[in-house]
Amino acid sequence: MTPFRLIFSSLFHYRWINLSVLAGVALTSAILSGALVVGDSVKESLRRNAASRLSKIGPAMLGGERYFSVSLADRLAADLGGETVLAPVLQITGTASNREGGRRVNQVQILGVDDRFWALSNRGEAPEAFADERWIGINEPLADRIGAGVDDTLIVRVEIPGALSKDAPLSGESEQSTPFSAAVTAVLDGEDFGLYSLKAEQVPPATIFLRRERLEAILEQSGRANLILGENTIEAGPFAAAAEKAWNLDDLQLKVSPVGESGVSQIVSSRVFFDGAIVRALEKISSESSPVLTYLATDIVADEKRTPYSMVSGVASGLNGIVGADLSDDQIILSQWLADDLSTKPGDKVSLVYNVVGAGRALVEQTRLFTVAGVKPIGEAGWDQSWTPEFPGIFDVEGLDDWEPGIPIDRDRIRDKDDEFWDQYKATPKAFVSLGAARSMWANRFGDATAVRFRLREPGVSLEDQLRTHLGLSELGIVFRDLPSEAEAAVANSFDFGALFASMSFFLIVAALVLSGLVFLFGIEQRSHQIGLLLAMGFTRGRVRKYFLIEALFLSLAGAVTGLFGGYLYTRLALHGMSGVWQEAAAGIEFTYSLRLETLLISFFVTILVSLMVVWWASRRVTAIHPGTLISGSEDLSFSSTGRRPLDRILLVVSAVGALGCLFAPKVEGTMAAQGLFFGAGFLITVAGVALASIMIRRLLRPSQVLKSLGSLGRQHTVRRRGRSLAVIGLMAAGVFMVTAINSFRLDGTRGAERRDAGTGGFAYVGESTLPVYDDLDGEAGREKFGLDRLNGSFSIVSFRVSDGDDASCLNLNRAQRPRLMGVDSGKIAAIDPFNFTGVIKETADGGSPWRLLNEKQSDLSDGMPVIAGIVDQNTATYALQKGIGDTVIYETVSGQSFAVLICGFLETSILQGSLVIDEASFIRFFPDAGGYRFFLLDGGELREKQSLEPVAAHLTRMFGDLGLEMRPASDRLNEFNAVQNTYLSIFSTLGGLGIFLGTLGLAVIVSRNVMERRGQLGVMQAMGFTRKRLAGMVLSEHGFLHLSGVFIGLVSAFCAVFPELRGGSSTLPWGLLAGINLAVLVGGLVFCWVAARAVLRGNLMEAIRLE
Amino acid sequence: MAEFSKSSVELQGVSKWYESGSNEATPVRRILDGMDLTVNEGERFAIVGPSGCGKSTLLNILGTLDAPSEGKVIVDGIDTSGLSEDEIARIRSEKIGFIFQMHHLLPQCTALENVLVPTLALATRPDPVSAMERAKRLFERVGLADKLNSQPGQLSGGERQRVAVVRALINSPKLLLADEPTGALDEDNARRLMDLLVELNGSERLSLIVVTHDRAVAEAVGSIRTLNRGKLES
Repeated sequence: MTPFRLIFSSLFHYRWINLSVLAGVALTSAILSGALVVGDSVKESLRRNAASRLSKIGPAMLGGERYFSVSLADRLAADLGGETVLAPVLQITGTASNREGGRRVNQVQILGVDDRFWALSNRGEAPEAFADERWIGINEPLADRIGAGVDDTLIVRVEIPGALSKDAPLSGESEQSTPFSAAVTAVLDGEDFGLYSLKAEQVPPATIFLRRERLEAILEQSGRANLILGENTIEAGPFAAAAEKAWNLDDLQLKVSPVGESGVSQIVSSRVFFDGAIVRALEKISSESSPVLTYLATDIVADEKRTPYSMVSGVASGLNGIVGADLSDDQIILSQWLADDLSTKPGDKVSLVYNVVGAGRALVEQTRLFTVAGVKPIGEAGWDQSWTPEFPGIFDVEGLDDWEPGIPIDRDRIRDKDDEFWDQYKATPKAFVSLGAARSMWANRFGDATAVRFRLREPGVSLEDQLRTHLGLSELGIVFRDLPSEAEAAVANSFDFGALFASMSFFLIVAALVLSGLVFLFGIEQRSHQIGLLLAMGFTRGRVRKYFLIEALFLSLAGAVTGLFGGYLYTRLALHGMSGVWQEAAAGIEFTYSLRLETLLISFFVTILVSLMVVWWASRRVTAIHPGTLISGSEDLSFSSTGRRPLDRILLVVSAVGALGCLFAPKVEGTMAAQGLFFGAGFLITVAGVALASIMIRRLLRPSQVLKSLGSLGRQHTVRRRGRSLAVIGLMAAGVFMVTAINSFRLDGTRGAERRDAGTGGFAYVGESTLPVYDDLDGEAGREKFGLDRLNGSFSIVSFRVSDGDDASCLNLNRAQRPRLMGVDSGKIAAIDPFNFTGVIKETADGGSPWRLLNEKQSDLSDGMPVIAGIVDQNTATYALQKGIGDTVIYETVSGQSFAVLICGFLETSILQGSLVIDEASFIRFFPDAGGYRFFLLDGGELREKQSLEPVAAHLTRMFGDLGLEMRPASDRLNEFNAVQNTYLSIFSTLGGLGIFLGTLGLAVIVSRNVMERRGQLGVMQAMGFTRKRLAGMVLSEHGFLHLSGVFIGLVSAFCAVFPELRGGSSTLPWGLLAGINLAVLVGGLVFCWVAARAVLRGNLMEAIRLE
Repeated sequence: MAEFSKSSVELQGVSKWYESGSNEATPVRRILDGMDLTVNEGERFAIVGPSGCGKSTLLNILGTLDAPSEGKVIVDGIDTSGLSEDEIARIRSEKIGFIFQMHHLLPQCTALENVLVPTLALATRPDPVSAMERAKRLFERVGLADKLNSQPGQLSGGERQRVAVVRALINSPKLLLADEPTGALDEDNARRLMDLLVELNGSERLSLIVVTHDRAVAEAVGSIRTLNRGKLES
């Protein structure tokens, strides 16, 4: 006989008990490894998703609002090596409708591509028939959503990119969007870029592919692209460096022409207004330079005479023969034609009347008085049309009658002489003012110059080469991105489903461990005689426990290995769930099973370690009993009621005080901290409840003169194995608490949706358009223009400007790299004061709405980076951005300038999830090119509870349908976000429910064990005349009492945890579900007790007496 | 309580056999063979016999804990054959008291509470005060008046068994059945317990049947019957 032989014989002899222990360990291992592998699988799935959406794309150059020459890609390729693939792409966003069904999909990305683009796909070659100029491919997500396939026709609507933003003054009045018909030639899958997207999001956008030349024609951007994609063999750094060397003036939409005296050139931009960076660079490379700012005066007035619609240029002295250094800012030089028309002479006063563009394209008429400093004839000293930029709607039309400058033109005021002027001089300015005067009148966010006249310092060197030394592409809003690195970062920092599932399985793991610990303990107790015998023979307690631990080690090893296979099942089921009933938690992703060896090893060793700890703890008590007692088996009678056990009292006092502390601690309502305190209070009440139960159970031992009932006699039995009894109570209480308390955090966006502090902000409808709406829909002009003034009801519309970025809401599993930024009129939204703030950086000066914080000036960072205030949904900040209040998020403007958004406030779960909100003024300052509004909130004001705004929402949807606007009930949008959290709760409920199921199974094991141990007593009671049914009832009463106590404690604790939710009423408690779960727990536990009791009592109890 | 009849318990042609299972040569193992027995009120005797002869089986049949394979068991004039489990349990609670080798006291209850447990089995609960008074009287009778509130763990083996005796008597049974009642006791305690049982047999006018393999215990009862080949011999 060797120790190992003894151990193996024991393992075999007590195989049924050992198999139960092994099953418990295997369950633990399965849950742990399964949960962690879910995390591996989700990450790998996201990685594959990223690989599919990028295929062989490496670095990218994004032009933003700027359209560069397609040939730039060729020049770049030549610089990087002839074999390198660089694909110029024309990428815009639009809407698509199925001509047959009428189904419309918004936010469709439309790609104009050539063969080089397809070389970057997984397949590596263009789809069949791509050479056909009418070829149209759509991806599967679009095909599914729009219900179209090959040969179906889509009506696609896109915005024609203007020379300058529609928000800019004099941007023309051309149609904002244009439709084109697209007969689908192919539906593309992942191999053919069907998942293409540059955004770090797992949900593939709907996409239309067509030949670039065709899209160029539609967008009137011949030979232009706004995106160059490089293959992934190219490093991002060399790619950007090559681009900086390869660009030419055409790429920047600049044109240079000689003007005036020798050596003087003028540079103009087809974007009309100049980037400051270009003006500054020109100043550096020129011996002389002079910006020019030309604008349209709607009237030039002198006394009673008026000249309508005249160009006026502002220019500094030098490089021209018109404006001298002595021209002050209140002086004007008139052309002879104008002086004659107004009958003015030097020294007379004339007024310039002009329009500037305010918020929402509102035109504001302004007037400025000048003194005539001189009169000069047109045609002399370089007074010609070259001073006027190519304003859309002015420069490119035949006559004055065709003007569409973007401001109202009263054609009745146009005289014959005005037509004659146009015929002779076209858009030649009629007057000149100083550059200072011009800038003070007409400088805007798009620029303060419409041309620059300059004389190069080194005329022998090309302008491009000279400009390159002082001008970086990033200063012009051109962005270089290392897409594979960004994708990897987004995946690496993505939402950790492994941790989520492991934490949500925590109760299940604990239940499995408790169950296996119980079974092991019972196994040891069954062998207590043996233990006594071994001790009596001279084995030390340590050695005996070592034998048990070695037995347990073998069981743990076998269980942990077995569990890994079970973990596979767990992961598969979890992934299946997330593809099915739980798909809201991880929308738009195709899951792949994937595991890492490290994950398995971690699960394996953690399981063994934890199992051994449980076994060590379980064996501790038995081996501590006196050997004689163990051998005689008289330990059953050895306990006493008189021993003082103050531990439960201390625990009761400490946890009760802690719970009260948590409940009454000062807290900001609605914050996570407050929620945590209430949850903590609930947990501590659970502990206090179990401690109280421990005390109460001991009180049952007090001698009584009368036996009340068989039930009370049964309940007295709970004292006999107090540890077991408390384990049952604790397990049930914890389970019910967790499942109930967690479920109570389910959210329902429709509940209280009209309240200002609701997640809807009290707004009735929310809409997001694909293409921008440039008008202020809440302004008088906007309302009149779009017929909103004719609608019944009191309503207002809060519009947001949008700078696209990654979706940072809970719908995106990837870590958002560039969260979307939205700009809103802070004064307007502060007046409404919607949404509930869960935290603010400080109170506003006047104690008013925290939205006013957006308007407060912030100190620049130490490196001079400007800082602006921002407000964000707390979930977005906490989980997607991992930022807190007072933290900053760094953004880059189109001109390459960095700025920081200081998080000043957190919103409770709201419809603004996924975006950072800043003040509109700040937005315009940093994103002047992001014209128009794309996010809208429709509000019913004071009457919001009494009126339906459905007709208004329908009108807006109809009116702006071409722009992809769809107004939806705000509660629907909120529920989309809520669905994620609710799904997590469902997952937790399922896992928690399984945990409670294990707990009730443990209860059944305990019932069986308790009855087995007392079969002799029960036999005697049968002899006394108690029927089996009554005995079963007694056993049920005993264990039902434990079970009910646990459930009761759990419910009380859960009530405390969800108290703020109940009081605030901000969420809808799923009473049905909670009642169902708890009823199932309640009834299930009692049924388990009954079945276990009946099963054990079924045998011959008298036989048990004899055997003893 | 029901009226006393002449016999406490009566067996009429009682046989008991068990299926032998694997042994095909002797498929049935016969324990009791057509036994007739009348135990009169106040009568007492010990049943002895070799191990495995069926002493405990006979006792269980007398106590209605086991049913005969054949024959009738009549307790206090009531034929138990054909009665439901509930009806038989009621007879047991009212008319029969048991004492086993192991006391099987409930460790979480005091001695007094243990004794009162059988009162819960009665169809009609007795008045608690009178039940307690009777319990106290019985405790005095067995010399444990000062142990009413003691836990079983605080009692000696002999004391525990005496508590078990009191528990068996609390419902004033007509028949007291003892199965190896002294098996777990030392000689002195065994002798004292048997003296107590004999004394109670006289004072409480109950029939006493003791199953034992200990000759001295049997002799202490006074009358001995031997179970042999399924028959009871005087």
